[in-house]
This record gives sequence, C-alpha cells and structure tokens, in this order.
Amino acid sequence: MQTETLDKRAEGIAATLTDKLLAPVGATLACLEAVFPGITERVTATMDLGAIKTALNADVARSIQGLMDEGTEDSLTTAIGKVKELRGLVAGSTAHTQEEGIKTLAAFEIAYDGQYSKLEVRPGQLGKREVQFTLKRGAENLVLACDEINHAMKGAKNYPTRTDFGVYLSDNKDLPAGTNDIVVQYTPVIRDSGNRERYGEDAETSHTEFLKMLGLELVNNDLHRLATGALRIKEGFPKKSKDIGTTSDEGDLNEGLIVRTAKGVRSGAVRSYARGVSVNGWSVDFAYYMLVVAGASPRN
Amino acid sequence: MESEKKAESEKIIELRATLEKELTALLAHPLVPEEFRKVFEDKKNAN
Repeated sequence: MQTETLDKRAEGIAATLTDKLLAPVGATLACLEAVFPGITERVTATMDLGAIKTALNADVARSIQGLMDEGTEDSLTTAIGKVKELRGLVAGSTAHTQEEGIKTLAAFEIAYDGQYSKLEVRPGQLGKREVQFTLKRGAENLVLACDEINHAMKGAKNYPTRTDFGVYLSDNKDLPAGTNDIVVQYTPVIRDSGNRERYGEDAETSHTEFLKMLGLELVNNDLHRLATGALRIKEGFPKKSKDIGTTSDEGDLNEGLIVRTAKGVRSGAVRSYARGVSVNGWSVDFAYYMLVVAGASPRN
Repeated sequence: MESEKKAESEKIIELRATLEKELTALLAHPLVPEEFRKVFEDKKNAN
C-alpha cells in the first residue's frame, strides 16, 4: 500500500465532503472507516477540525449570544463580524482542496454509477459482518455467480470455512428495477479450514485483510479504484476449488486490466495487480467480476 | 428626535436580520461543533 497515494486520495475524498456532502459526515466517515481504516484520521486532518473546534467553542458562542442580547448597533455589528470570521474559518477549511475534490467526486460518480450504487458495511447475524453492494444487473446471473462462488469456497484449500463466508442476494424488494443487492457475509476473525486465524489476531486486522482479499489490495484501498478496479477481474476465479489460493491461478487477463499476479516474498500471498480504469463492455456478470477478486488475491 | 429614534431602530432591525442570516448559515455548516450550536438552540428554546 502506498501511503502517499492514500493520503492524496484521502485529501481528495475529504474535499468532496464539503458543504454539499458533509451533512451525514459522521455516518459517511464511519462507513468509510470500516472499509478504509484510518480514513477518518486523514480526512479530519485535512479539514483541520481541531482548529474549528477550538475556534467555535461554547464560550465564543455565549460571547456572540451576549452581544446579540445587548442589542445595540455596536454590539450587533461586532457580532456580525465575529460570525463572518467563523464562517470564513469553516468554509476555508476545505476550500483549498475543493478543486481536486470535485475532480475526484466526478470520477467516482462515473465509476460508481455503472457498477454499484451502494457500499455498506454493517453488522450481520451471529457476530458476522456483511458488505453489501447494490449491483445493476439481472438476478439470474447473480444467483449463478453466488452459487458458483460459494460452491468453490467450500472446498477451497486455505480458504475460510463455509460458515465464515457466504455470498448471496439480499432479496431486497425495494430496489429499483434492474438492480440487485449482493451480500458478502463473513466473520470478522476468519479462520481457515484448519481453524487457524488467517487474517489477523483481532477483528479489525482480520476485517482489513479480508477486504484486501476481496480486491482492495489490488486497488490500494482507494475508494475510486474500488469502484472501478475491484470489479474487473473476469476470469481470475478458478473453476476448480483446489486451484483457489495457488499460483496456478494466474488471473486470466480481463481486457488487459489485470496486469499481473505475483506471490509475495515474505507472506507468500498471491496478489493481482490492476492497471487502467476503463472498461470495455458490460455484457458480463459484475458480481462475478467483483467476487472473483477473492480468487485472484488469496494467500499461500 | 423621533425620526432619529426611528432610524436607529430600523438600523438595529437591519443588523439583527443580517446577524440572523449569517448565524443561520454558520450553524447550518456540518463542521460546527455541537456545543457551539447548542448555546444558540438553548437560547432560542428559552424564548
């Protein structure tokens, strides 16, 4: 993971959360934090929330309120000056990155629109967590894709046990026509078939590592590339379960987007690397594209 | 004397309106801390 790139992207994301998007900032950041650990810190640093909090404290508010209560021409003029100053501080906290933010947002919206319209991480049943995507494709292909993935997962060497991992359609009837929710459900601390913890000793680390396995590794935990790159691996998911997690799975190139698959020197992890953000045609099953990332970047 | 008082009153009303507008815009910003916002909300509720 390239920290510099992440920071730059976080800056861009921060900028997108300006007046227009900041209303649900807490919820947004909480959601992003679950997928991109550390994003809140980087975003808040960019926004300089500390300075805002210091400047807009209760004493300052009471001081302004006092001037208002006084109600003279002088006091009101002073109060207006103070409020304007504070408005400038708040607005200025994000203004310097706004231009980049708009570009990021535009790119994100383009990518987001064609593939899935929602990303949500939420608690599931029995302590599991669920990552839900809303995909704009027909149900039949998604069901087939889910079945295929689940079937392969069950027998996969070094993969989570079947109770730790599952892919299914959400059966959400409230979605617009032509869209479907696909849910990836997993246990935060994931164990392999030998009951060993595969991704970390605590839920947070495990969660992060698992999401990387779902494609975030190859997209550098980058929100924009998550929307574009993570859905790109077409035939990287091996048909034979015994091949999952082995280097025999080289990740068939999908229109040149997956440029190589390599095995890590220290960890032995197999990772696929993507290049480019354009997509040629949408005639294939996006859920399959997305979830096969799990088959293209496993370990050992 | 009467007209001076009236002019002053109008000026105050104008300033209050400006202040109200500026303050509303400030408080609407999502980065404004809750403790800051609460002072004005409490005052409004008390009235």
